[in-house]
Amino acid sequence: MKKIICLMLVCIMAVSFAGCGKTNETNGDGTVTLKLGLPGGKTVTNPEIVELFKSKHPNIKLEIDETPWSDFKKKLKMQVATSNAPTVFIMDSGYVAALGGMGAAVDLTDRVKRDLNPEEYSIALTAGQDAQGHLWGVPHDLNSVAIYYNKTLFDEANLPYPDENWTYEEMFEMAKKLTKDIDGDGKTDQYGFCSLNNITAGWLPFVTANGGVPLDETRTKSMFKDPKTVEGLRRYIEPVQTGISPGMEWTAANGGAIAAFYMGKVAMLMGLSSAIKNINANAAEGFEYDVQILPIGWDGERHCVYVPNYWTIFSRASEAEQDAAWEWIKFYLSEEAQMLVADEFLAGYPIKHTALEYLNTKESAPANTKVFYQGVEEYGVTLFENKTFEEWRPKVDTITAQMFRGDVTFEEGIDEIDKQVSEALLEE
Amino acid sequence: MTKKHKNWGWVFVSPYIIGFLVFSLYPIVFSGYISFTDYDIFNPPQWVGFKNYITALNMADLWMGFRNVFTYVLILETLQISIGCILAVLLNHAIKGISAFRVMYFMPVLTPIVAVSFVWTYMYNPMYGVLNYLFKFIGLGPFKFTFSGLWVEVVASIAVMSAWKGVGYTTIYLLAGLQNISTDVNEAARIDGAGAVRKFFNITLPLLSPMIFFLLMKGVIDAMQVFDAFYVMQQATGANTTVIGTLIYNNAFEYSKFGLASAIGWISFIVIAILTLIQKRAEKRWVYYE
Amino acid sequence: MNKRIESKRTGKIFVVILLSLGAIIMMLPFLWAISVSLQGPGLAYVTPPQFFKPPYHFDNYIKVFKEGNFLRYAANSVFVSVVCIVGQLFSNSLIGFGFAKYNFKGSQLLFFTALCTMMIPHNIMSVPQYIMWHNVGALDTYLPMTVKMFFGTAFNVFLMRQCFMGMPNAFYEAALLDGANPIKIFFRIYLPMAKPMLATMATTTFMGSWNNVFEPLIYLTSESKYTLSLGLLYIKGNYEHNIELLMAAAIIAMIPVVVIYFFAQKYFVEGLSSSAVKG
Repeated sequence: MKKIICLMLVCIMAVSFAGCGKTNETNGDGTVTLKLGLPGGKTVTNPEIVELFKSKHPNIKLEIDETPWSDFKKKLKMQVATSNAPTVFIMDSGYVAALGGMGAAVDLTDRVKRDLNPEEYSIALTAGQDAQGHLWGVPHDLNSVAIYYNKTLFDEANLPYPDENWTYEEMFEMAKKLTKDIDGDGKTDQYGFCSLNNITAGWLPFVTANGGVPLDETRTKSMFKDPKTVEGLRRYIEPVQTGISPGMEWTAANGGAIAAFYMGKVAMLMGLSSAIKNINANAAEGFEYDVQILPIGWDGERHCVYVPNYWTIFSRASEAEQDAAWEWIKFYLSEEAQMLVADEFLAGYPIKHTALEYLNTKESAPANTKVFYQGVEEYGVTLFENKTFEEWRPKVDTITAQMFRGDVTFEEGIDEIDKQVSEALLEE
Repeated sequence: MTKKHKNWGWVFVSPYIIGFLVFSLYPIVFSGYISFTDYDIFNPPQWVGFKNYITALNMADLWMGFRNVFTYVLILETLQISIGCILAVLLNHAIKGISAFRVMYFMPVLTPIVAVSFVWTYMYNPMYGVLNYLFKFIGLGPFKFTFSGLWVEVVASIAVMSAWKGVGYTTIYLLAGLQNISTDVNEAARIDGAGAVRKFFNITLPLLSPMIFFLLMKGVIDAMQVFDAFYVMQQATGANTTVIGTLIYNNAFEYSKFGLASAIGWISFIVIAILTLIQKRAEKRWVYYE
Repeated sequence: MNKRIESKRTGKIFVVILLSLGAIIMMLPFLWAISVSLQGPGLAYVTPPQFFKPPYHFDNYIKVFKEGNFLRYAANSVFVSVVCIVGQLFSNSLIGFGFAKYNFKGSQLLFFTALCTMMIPHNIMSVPQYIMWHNVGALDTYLPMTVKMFFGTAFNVFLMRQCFMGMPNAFYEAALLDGANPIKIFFRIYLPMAKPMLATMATTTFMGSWNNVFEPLIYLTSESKYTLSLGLLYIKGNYEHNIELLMAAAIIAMIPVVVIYFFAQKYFVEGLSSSAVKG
């Protein structure tokens, strides 16, 4: 009996010692502890930047949380509930908008105005602004959408590679020629295009290419019944119906659109710049591909969908911690750090012009990657993130998937999207 | 007996009572309260009365969720109990190497669900997976499994995976139950000249029925709350395979609607409690106590 | 008589054949996982599926092992598991004994509440629990995973009660006459008889704690405190596009559990049958 109780006590003591001191606002020696949330760790943020910051700011002690990207949100929710979130952390745009909407993020407008020169940066710098003009985050990295194409398959079909003045109609023409039944069993084995069932590299590029928008300017009203938006969605669904793009089931079975692309089963793919990492890691030796800017839309203009991940400051952190967090962000956006972001492509591109110019001079695989960040500058469109983005976005995807499959007619689908998005927007 | 020691009973049980008060009661009261509020976890909860419950009951997804989860429970429990009974009887033989078999059948239980999902998603792949490849030899398929756009096919596939993962657990408990059936009973049956099949249905099964009842009750409570299996196995194919577990998760952790999530949780609790009561009522009809 | 032995033998052969067939089906996913874990990169989506096709890439395992601090994570997992096992054995046997041997008011009610807590979805309980642990300053420690193990869990209490109910009360009366107090009676007489059941519980507790991902994920922040299952999650994040490495990681994490189960399984069944669950 005594033995067991002793053992128990020892265990409990050992465990409780493991949890040491809580962080104060400022430490006794004048240093500040900055809790830095780096979801995804070294696969998302270059560790050299962290090291450099440490050496330059000895008065700021870093406490780093590297929870995997996909699980970070869940943990963050718990931490927000207890005012215990990292002072500054990276998060995707939709989630940042939601945090801003509930008041958990700091409005960075004044700080950006005071300390940063917008002319030195990509327009993405202020893309985190909501409809009321609050800036809930500044970019950690920049991703945008372009068209990936398989050079070998274009050569085989005797097609010229797409040039930057191409249109969507031309892209569909090419896709038609690149769609083949190779083994003659009556089933297509090689598709010209691959429609994705999501917002970023899925329906939004088509909607904007048609001059449509998903939400109105205040981002509080659904525009899914607007004729231009409807037409854009029709053109988004079309490739699957005409058979130049596979359906969702085929794509899923092939490990997703990106895997289908690097396996040479899809000739063209509308994709985010982050897909490069996946393709380069898995494509077989001798796989030749490149990227081209999104085609000119039916409205005669080009629209380039982009989506940054943001640095966000937690609003319940103390004043001193928030200042330290801003020091971190400023450092991250400095030339020195941005060059490091440019040097190693982890989560996306840097946003400082000098770093982007430096990227232009570097060789890249594939060769034409500059279309990703150049497109943003001139034709950038964001995802219309708002407080309820995380709620309405997946709802649209569910219904478009049913439209692709033909479970619902196009008109029913549009009605359902409009209804569900409007319901979600009631919270705005 | 031990009437004068009644108070000692409370001493022995006290850790449980303390544990319940500290670790369960507060969260239960909290989530009960939250279900009547608007709570985004950042701002203080706002009392809204029954609004969340009304919203939840009007959600098409809630009823889809119950449809899916009932289908899942039905398939899963049927497979687990029936296969579990057969396996337990087989594993109850004194054969050399039987312990190796027991380990093999239990291995899936030991495997983390994330690892299981990698393997099964890959096996279920309709084009490259090993299952359709094998099915072709016996003239079946091709199936689309979890990659299908039909909810039944997806739910059934996930239930089969869960059955594979959990059947070892059921089997071990049934095996323990079998070992409690006295050898006299078996001996008597043999002298009677009962065949193996008749013996199974007339003697073994009735004697196992308390254990089956126990496993069924626990199994239904657990399976009704399924979350992990659906969360990791779902593919984006457009089939509506929402279950109550994912509905709660999405509302709480994706949409920051903790009030609504809690309300759905409590509705689910009531449904599970009713199911359990029904089972308890039906107990007398088929469970045999010595 | 010979005939019966004969038919018994054919019966046994029949059983072995059936069991082997079943075992193949049960083991197929594992073989498949091992096969994939030995593949080179980029071979995941080819037809026909490749099964143990050379060349074998054993270096996948080495690569995974070098990623992160596997041994440290494993040591942490062992520590947490051991504390959980001690807590569970101690608390559940005490509580189960109380329920089994003392007929007092409220014991039915307590059981009813235990059953009810099993029916509440844990996702809605996780936030208040987190708030609680935050308030006592126990985030980033192992306390949230271990402390509650010292207060019994509904299901195991139930098994323990069944186990003690199967033991004769006569020992209790006899020991009382000898002047022993109930604590002594519990530790000296009844607990030793429950050994098989304790072994069972130790095994299930170990499995549960070893594979627990959710709690380590939300409560632990320092990398040095990660458990193995949490480490696996990180590896999953880092190797998102390399299925073969993911499989290798999953297999490495599984080995300890399988080995321990192999040695414990004899007691496991014995323990369960001693509990004689009767609902």
